[in-house]
Amino acid sequence: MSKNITVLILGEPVRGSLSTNTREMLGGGRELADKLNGRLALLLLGDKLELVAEEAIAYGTDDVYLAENPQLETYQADTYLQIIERAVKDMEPDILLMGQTSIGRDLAPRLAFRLGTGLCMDCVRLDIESISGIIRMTRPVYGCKALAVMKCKMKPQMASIRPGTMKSAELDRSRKGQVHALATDINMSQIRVKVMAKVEEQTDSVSLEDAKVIVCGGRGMGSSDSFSILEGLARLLGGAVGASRPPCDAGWMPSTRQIGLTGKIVSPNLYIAVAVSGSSQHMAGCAESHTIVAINKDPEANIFAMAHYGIVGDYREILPPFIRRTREILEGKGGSRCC
Amino acid sequence: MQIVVCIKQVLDPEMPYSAFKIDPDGKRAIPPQGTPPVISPYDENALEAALRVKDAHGATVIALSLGDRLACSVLRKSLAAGVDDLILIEDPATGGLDSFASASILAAAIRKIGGADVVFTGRQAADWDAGIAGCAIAEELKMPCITVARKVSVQNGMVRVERLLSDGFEVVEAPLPCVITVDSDIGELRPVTIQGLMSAKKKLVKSWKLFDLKLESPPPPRCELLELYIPKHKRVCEIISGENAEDAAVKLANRLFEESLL
Amino acid sequence: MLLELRDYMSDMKRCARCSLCKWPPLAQLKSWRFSNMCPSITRYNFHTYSGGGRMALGLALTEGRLEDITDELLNIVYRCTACGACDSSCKYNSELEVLWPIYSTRAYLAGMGYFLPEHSMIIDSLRKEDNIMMKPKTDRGKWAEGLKVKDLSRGEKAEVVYHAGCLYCYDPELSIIARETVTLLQKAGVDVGIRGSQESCCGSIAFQLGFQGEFIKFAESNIDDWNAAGVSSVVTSCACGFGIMKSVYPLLGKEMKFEVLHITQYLDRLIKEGKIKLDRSIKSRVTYHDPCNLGRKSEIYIPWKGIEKKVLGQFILREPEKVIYRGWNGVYEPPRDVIRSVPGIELVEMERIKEYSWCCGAGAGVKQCLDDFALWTASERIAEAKSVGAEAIVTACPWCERNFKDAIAASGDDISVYDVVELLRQAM
Repeated sequence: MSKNITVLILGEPVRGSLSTNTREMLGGGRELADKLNGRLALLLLGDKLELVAEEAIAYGTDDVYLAENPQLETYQADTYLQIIERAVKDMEPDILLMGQTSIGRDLAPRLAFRLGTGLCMDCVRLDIESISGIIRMTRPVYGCKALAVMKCKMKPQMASIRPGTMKSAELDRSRKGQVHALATDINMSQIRVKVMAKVEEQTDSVSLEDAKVIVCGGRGMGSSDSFSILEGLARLLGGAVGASRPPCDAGWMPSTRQIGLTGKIVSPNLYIAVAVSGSSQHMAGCAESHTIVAINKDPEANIFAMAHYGIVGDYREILPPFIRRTREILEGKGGSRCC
Repeated sequence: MQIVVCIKQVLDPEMPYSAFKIDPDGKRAIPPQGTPPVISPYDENALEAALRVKDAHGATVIALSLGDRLACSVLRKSLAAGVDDLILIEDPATGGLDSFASASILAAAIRKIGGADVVFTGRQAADWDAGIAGCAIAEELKMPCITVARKVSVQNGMVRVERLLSDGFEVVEAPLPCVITVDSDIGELRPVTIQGLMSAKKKLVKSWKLFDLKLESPPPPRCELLELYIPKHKRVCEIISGENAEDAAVKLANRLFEESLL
Repeated sequence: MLLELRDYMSDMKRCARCSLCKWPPLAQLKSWRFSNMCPSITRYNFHTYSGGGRMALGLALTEGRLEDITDELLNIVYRCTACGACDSSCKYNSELEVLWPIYSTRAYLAGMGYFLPEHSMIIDSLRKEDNIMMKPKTDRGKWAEGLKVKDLSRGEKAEVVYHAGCLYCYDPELSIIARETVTLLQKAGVDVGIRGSQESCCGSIAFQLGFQGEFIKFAESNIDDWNAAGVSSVVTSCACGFGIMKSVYPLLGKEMKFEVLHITQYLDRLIKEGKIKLDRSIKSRVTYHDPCNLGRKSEIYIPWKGIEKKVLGQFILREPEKVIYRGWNGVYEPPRDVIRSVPGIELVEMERIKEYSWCCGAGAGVKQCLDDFALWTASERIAEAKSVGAEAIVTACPWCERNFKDAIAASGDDISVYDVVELLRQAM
């Protein structure tokens, strides 16, 4: 029974509302569905999702499918797969999207395998190739040095969408849509991996995803002690400190601070990259920042190709006067910061 | 206990920028002269994870590598690090495989060597960055899969894994056999010694073709690659310079203030 | 990319197998005993080991006639110190490039993933610890402990930066020479600084082994560091480093805002300006060994690109004209002048000197991977030194010194080895 669902999105509810990435996918999905004259559906798993469903409809979803069960509050691959596989086989969408998130990365390959379809991970762009509904999926490869364009020969065409690449939909509470409940019976014998504990990283500074200002250190910092100057600058600007991969691998900074292809994708207002070479894997994490400032001794470092402002030189000589002048400016404004 | 590590040979992700070139017709990156291919970095982490389990429990570790034009001296690093056996799967037909096809061939190889208690692999390969193969191998072998592991311990037929989350980590347990994909947090591959490399040279490396795995031809790719290109950057950076570092730094701060960025 | 084997195809095809690459320029032959030029073929006695043979090898690889890269093939390729003697000798007759096809063959093989196991250890050490000695990066500044010298990595400024090189930083026996060099420069009133533990390898061994990717990264990083430090000269003790900085660094297309000098050139300048006073006399008969990288390999080299036209069916004309680098413009006189300025010294010349000097045997990874070959080559040179009655060999490269010292220790000879700086210190 075809429900004429063109685009099905697997959304992620976060603290009682839709995650930013889900809203972005709804925006992109709505465009695709409109161009292909089809319906946009959203699948949510969790518990007590009524308000989230309403929000989804306001963001342009035609059909919201809810799988509500206290057992689904915490993500667990075996349980989620059972429910989602069942739902997708029933709905037969043309296109299936999910976020390139912690959950998406874990779920998408297995789901694609079970559905017997192809999958394009970490997509940064979707274009419609023909009115028949085939989409061209663009994804970065070779550590983001190159872009590959692919298309899937089977249905549903699956893609996981990188956060920050689609434009979020507009909230319109007057939109109408339908909410459907899905059966949530779970075959317990299929659950093999058990979650024993969850540990959140202790952090007293702003999270990287929410920070409006990020100061990032790279391999050129030289040691873990040298990050203290970055912390001082971040505090002054009300921002967070991040690191590219080499400092994390060397143990100077925890991996939760890593910005890049396999770390966090961030889009602050101001991104100050200190002693960061600007490798493509790292730029994948920060390219969407509004303004990038680079400080590096190598005038040909890749970071300068991507930055808006830059100084060529040793950060040890540049940062102290920069911090002093910044402090002067901010104090001159009566201590207020417009970040 | 038998552990299998799937390692992939890739073009060096740390090659200088000027060396990275794409052949648009062949839709592939051109191997640069003077920069040898390497074992994909996350797969090296997977080797380390496997070797730690071997140190603790005395398991047999077998490294599997699938590709075309595999370089023995590069992959022998796994033997030098302490892996017991290296098996190469090389076949002209393995030219244009996608992750699912690679996974099915690797799974067939794992079945041929008698299965595995744990299969380790990197979370994603440094060339295609897809992160699909590990989970697909688990599905082929009908094993549970734990991704982005940063710590692994085995006890009483169960595996206890700490896996990365965006804001910390979670601890999960699963029965053996299972597939684990690792993140670099799990630790760098132990340094190889010259004695290790010398004894690795003497070891016999098995080489299999698809025929040996009773596969006539690899499964066709599920996705078609239409284009591969290096994007052009249009941004122009405003380089702030001054009489000396201090002067430039002050000018930068003033400039950012002008743009209301501070 | 600097090394592309295909670029040298026409040169490789033109090797007529005249075998000049195996001997010094015929007019310079003085005795049968020391009539060889190429350590590789002298020891292994098979044509492929000579310069011309290596050209044939490179050609076969480019034309696809060698598909099976066996271990024996790799042994042949790497049993060569890339000393450039074949290149220099060949150019007495033909105008073929021999040394760069040798480098390019190595780059070609490395790019396909073929190399000796020891090479992967050297390269790993370079990537992780910024040196080829397989020692930790944090220990790099230890040689200068106690020396009161400016440390550029801490932001101090100096006119001249002294680049010690991996061997001087990590070899305890040789580090003393580096310390003496710095003290000598300071005494002469030079505003010298070092980069201490932030110093990184010059990349010359990576380049000579064919790992040009690594080389490019290190070379660019060094140029940036020195540009950023604002030094006007870079003075190095390591001849290998000097050779690569002079001949290959400029090919990267990066602006080098400093002058590259070898310590012997700098000391020669200082002595002639009277800033170094040598008052003690040393009565000794010494001979000077020309390091390959200070001599024939330190010429500025620009790979030729243009059109070739065949005239009258046999003459090759090149548009633009190709400049042939024969090794004549290397650094030969400054070290000799420095030695001669020591009172009481008697400097005698060996038979194979200057651009046709016999290699010490330590270059291009041979010291690390094929120590027996390195020691044999050194013993040949020591025999030559003894044949002219020298009591000591004076050299200007730490690798030469290290290799000679090891060879003397192995054979129990009674000849001494000094670096030019050691000699000067004894004379002060």
